[in-house]
Amino acid sequence: MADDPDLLDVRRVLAGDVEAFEGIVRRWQRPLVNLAFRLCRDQGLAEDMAQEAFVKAYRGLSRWRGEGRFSTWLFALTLNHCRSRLRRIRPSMVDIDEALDIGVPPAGEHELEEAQRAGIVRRAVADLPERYRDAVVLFYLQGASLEESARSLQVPTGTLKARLHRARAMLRGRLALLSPLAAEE
Amino acid sequence: MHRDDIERLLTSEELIEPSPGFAASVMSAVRREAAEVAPIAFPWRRVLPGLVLVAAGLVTGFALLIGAFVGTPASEPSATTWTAPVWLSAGRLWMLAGLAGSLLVSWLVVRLSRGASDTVL
Repeated sequence: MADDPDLLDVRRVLAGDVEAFEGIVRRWQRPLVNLAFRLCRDQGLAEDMAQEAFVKAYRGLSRWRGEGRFSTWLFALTLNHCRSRLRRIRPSMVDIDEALDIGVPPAGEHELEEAQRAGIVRRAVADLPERYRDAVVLFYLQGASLEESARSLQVPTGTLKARLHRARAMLRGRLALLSPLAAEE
Repeated sequence: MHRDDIERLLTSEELIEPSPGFAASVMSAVRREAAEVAPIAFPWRRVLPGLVLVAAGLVTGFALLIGAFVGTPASEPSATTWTAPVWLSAGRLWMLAGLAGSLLVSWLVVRLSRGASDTVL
């Protein structure tokens, strides 16, 4: 813990060295932008939200006590910020046409179907109710452990498990409506 | 679609890369934030007693004023009770007390707020 680069940078920033915050930004820019992107599916907006989250983190750095992992605190802060930003610009950002847009054309028919399904699933995730969306994004898309995701969401692990279970059920239901392709099998 | 399929699709997404100038842009925002002078906190601790005294003075003055106008039925003076001179009748006495109280409160407020502004500057 003593040679944790986040902890060292946080101490330097709190001692008045603003430039030390760049280390934190460089280490966490990719995870934070991706976390925000998975909540809104818009890279421009995701970068805006991630930048605002970094500034908020800088402002509230003294509130991180160094007990838990810095990433858990940073993800929780980013998640809260994205939630309040997205609440103002929703109700729904999922466009069915966009949902079927898969970006880079895959090689074969199977890859095409797979990519189409993946696109539909990810956009359906972005359109889930907040508590389920956040659970899925942190656990599956961000690749955090169950315990770490629960800490970032500030809920017990059991609650997170229940939310993930419910989210999967909702996704199955939504996908069945969105696309017969995704619902088959 | 089975649970495994959903899980596989959810975990298979590739990460996007932040724009090339993203970190620099964040650091500019952070430097701006750091350069901003923290707002001067309003000196509530110094002002609050003065405000309380002003409020108390106003309430007392108001009560005295009403008392002076409405008046109380005069009771028969007895040999054992002190009788105030005519110029110091009950109403006037209260008004004088109210005036003195108000002057005291005003003086205290001026003194406290001067002390607060000296501290801030």
